[in-house]
Amino acid sequence: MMRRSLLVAGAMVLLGSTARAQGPDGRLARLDAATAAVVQAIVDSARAVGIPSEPIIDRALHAAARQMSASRTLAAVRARVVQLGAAHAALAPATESEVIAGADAIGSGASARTLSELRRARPSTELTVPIGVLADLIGRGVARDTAAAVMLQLASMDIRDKELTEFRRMVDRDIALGALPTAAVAIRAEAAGVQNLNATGDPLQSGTTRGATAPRPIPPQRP
Amino acid sequence: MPDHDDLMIARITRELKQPVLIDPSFDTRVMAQLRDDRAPRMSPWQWLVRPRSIQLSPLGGLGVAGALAATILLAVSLRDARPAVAPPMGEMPASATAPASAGQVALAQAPTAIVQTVQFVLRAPRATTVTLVGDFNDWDTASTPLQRAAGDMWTVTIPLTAGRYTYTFVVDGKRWVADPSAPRAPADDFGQASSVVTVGGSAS
Repeated sequence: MMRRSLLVAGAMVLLGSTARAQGPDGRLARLDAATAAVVQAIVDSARAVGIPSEPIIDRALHAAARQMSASRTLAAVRARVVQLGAAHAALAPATESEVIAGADAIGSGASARTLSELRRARPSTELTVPIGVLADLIGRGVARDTAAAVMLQLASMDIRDKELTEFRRMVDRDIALGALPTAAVAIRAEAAGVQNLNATGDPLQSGTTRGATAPRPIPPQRP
Repeated sequence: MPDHDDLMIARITRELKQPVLIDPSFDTRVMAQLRDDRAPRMSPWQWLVRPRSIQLSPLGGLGVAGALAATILLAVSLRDARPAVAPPMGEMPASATAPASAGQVALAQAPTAIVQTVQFVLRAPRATTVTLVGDFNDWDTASTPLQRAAGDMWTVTIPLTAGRYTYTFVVDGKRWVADPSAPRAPADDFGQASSVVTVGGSAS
């Protein structure tokens, strides 16, 4: 009797979780039926390989809210899946928010390699904020390599999330005051203790030192 | 007659006083038999896997099955839950006097370390309605209206868990306005800018 009850309960649980995982998402009803079906298939496929599904649905809902055509909606959704997949692979193991931030960073122009290096620098720490700051800096016009080098060094220095956000705010303020984005980052990074950033923002190879004649970062241009 | 009895008693007594001759291997055989009859010593694993008969009423069986199902569902829901990251951080405190800030995002510490209240502010002097749309409300243009505050400011405060969110304002139901004071979202293929807010985060 007990064995039979347990079997029935187990089957019910398995069926329930399967239905929840593969059932259509009701929010996609905002799309036309054909587009919703394609998006649902993309979501299911992504979910099967461990890519978080919520940001994919978010992108589709965003498109629906902006009344985008089916082709633009699907193109945006597919692009999002590609970014999420790259971030997921680069950051694994990663939380959903890390993957979302990583996808944004890749969408901004950061490389998957940078994300992997960030993960190596902080293997057991939530990376959402460092990756988000990386994406924000690149989005503000900071050279990709400079942003990556600075964030990698800040991450390896075990800088707190709050300090990283403050760092980004300071860079934002300098840019708003007229500083060149890359120069603003370089100067703020030096102030934060980042070492060995050359003029292009690339960290020098370990074992080398900056020569006396090496150019220093360009100071911000005040209006 | 008494003499006969005495003789009988004496004979029995003598007989009983004789030493009893026992086979020398008797002790060995008895102990071997005892060893064979003793229950075998079970290892913990054998104890675990030894089949038992349990009697259970139908109601009891349903109760056990329900408890098992609840445990599995709890485990599944915990696995799907967003990671709890703590403690919160502050970001972009509102400064209504900043000339470049038509809209701002401000974070305030929430009662728990997981959820933070985030204030969204937009300066929109001629607007009749302003709503907030983003990843956090499924881009529903009706679910998060802003309230008119002092001056030309519109504001709303919502709870957010740690993560990175894309959002924008919708003015008068048709004009999409990115938050000018927040970082821009990467190109979203829709040709219109959105903003992002990153809600921390870890303690490190």
